[in-house]
Amino acid sequence: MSAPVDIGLHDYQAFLTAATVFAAAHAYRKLSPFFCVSWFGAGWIFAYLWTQARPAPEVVLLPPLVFYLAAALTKGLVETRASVQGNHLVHVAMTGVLSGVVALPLIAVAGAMGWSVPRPASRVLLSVNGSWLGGPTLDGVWLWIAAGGVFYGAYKLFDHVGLSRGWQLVLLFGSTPFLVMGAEWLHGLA
Amino acid sequence: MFCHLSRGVVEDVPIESLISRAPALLLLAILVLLGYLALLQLDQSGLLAAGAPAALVLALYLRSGRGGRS
Repeated sequence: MSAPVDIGLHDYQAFLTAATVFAAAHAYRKLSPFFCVSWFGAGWIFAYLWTQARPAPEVVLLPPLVFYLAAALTKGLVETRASVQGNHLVHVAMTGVLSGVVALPLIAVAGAMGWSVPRPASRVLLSVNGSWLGGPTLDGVWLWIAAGGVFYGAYKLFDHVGLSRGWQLVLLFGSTPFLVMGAEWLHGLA
Repeated sequence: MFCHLSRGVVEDVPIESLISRAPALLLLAILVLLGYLALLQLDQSGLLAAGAPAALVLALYLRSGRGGRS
């Protein structure tokens, strides 16, 4: 079969931009304007510092979008189960895992098309090679699990310690270099 | 933050209904992009394996009692 339309890098960038706008609209309407600004603002800074590729639009847009989708899906999955409802640790851990799950198809596509991904990952973990995962390594998925878990964990922490919104913003934005270090440390544990 | 979801939003407005389904729609769009590139453009059906966990999560999310809304 041949594709009726060839999708290129600029189409992928447009897709990620539209997806980010849609996700931000969801955050703005269903949560709050503060949440929308703080999540995506801190997420873009985090992505800029976390990426080891040239900071192209796609690698800066991808992390906050992936983490947001993972957190929203986690909420939908966890809130209907009374046993884990309101358990912040479960929320954070599951958001981390789902960050890896959501990122997997995107990094597979980017790898196959020769587009940039934020960070390369080539270690072989648990003897799982790339063919099991459509191209990316398990290390690549673990990279996103670590980053998503650390980012959402910090966000949740600052949200629940009783700080004013101004201080939340200052701490969240100011901590992004340390969150990157935390994600790198967690990734290195495996 | 995600545990303070605002209630009472007018859901019968089409744009609100669409926004409510954003997480499910976005994950579906990612899977469609993967499928299109894997099957039509690159002819690498093995790439579809990368979407299997996400497809499972999407199915669980849609069955979680909210009908894909959040």
